[in-house]
Amino acid sequence: MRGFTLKIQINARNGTHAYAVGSDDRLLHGGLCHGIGLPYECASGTCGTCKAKLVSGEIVDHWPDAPGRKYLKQEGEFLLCQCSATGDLEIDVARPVNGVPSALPAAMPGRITRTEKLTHDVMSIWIELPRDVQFEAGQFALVRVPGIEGYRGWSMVNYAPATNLLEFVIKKKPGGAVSDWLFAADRTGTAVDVFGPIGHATFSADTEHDILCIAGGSGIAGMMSILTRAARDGYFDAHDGDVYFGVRTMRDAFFLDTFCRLREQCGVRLRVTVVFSDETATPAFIDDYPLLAFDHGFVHEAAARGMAGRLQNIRAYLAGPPPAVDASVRLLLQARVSPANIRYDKFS
Amino acid sequence: MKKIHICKAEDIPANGMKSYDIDDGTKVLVANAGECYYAYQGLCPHQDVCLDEGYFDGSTLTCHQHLWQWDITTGDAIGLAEAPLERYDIDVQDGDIFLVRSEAMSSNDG
Repeated sequence: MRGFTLKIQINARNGTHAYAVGSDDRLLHGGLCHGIGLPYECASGTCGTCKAKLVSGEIVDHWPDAPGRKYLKQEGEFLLCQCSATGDLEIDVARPVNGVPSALPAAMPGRITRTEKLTHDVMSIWIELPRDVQFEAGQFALVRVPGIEGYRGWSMVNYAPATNLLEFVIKKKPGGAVSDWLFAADRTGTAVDVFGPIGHATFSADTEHDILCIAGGSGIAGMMSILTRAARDGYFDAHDGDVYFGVRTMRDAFFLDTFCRLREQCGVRLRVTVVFSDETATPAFIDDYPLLAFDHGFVHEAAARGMAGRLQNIRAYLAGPPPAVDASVRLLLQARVSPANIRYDKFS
Repeated sequence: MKKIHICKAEDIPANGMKSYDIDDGTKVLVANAGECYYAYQGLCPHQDVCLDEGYFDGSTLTCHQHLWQWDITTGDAIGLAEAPLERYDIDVQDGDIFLVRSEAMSSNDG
């Protein structure tokens, strides 16, 4: 805990919870790291899921312009992920609050140990932690870099039962302060703040479902962790795995060699289709990746074509630009896939 | 009893839905399922998201934000949903759909 310690009481639909938090800590982080499963999705100010209402005490809002504040309707409402306390608090959360189902997150100092450009606007970065952490495949971490306010949520690309190295994929976004910072210079060696692991769109090998991943752009990050985990467990010996990875052009594609290795490791029940929205793959490009399939169009449309008649027993993982995720959700609901088997963390 | 005109029945697509802001400030979602029409609160009980932005297949209504679902015939929660939808009484007469309110109720509890 950072700063002086304060007492937080949460009045949830199913009872009262209490935890201690540092005055510099976000209220969401404090609850989660004590195993109090406060509601959240993006944990970075956009989705509004962690909406709560102040009953007594005073808070500091670190991002008064957070897009997620559009979901706040009543006086006293605020986002748990963006606020810290200046004194003891009592807070209403209009939902049941249970435990944290996976390894408890923690705040840790991290250090960028390596970066590698994957395309003209996508970069891999590795952050080393002071100790091993456990996380579920598909989870993400919050990262804060020096000089830029606020945490960004990035999905882990790698998977290991315990590791002190987290790999992420960052896409350069126009006007994105952190991505601009990363792309502007070599940031190897920089100290950063990390909070994690968090996120609900997780994979565990005890499910009996076939796996469908639909991802656009850097949304593929969490899918790589899921596929790595599934490959370790031989999951695709007994289940189908279908991956649809959408990018604009051949020049925007990355991880294709990794997909080839996963395909070699997992065998024919893992199928990976790379979908280009703005062009058709050239014969030479296709020849370079004989283990992968290629399609042209929007990624959810390619998934709809490729999965026709095969959506009965799937667990789907979705990530990427909100329109692609929304269209994929629509596709799956039309096919009567239960929402419990549609997993994604809403970042908008 | 008070009747408030919401829309024409033909305004609601078959097995579709639309939402309306009626004069007393209530947002009402009107849905068609075969021969029947139903009216519910227009905002998701979870985060006040507009339900007409969600998905409806003629039987199950899904909020697009966190995939809470309800049975359109009852408003009962299905699956992930943690709360039912508040149902409004309606009357369909000569192709018009009316919200039916008892005089005693205010817009907040009706």
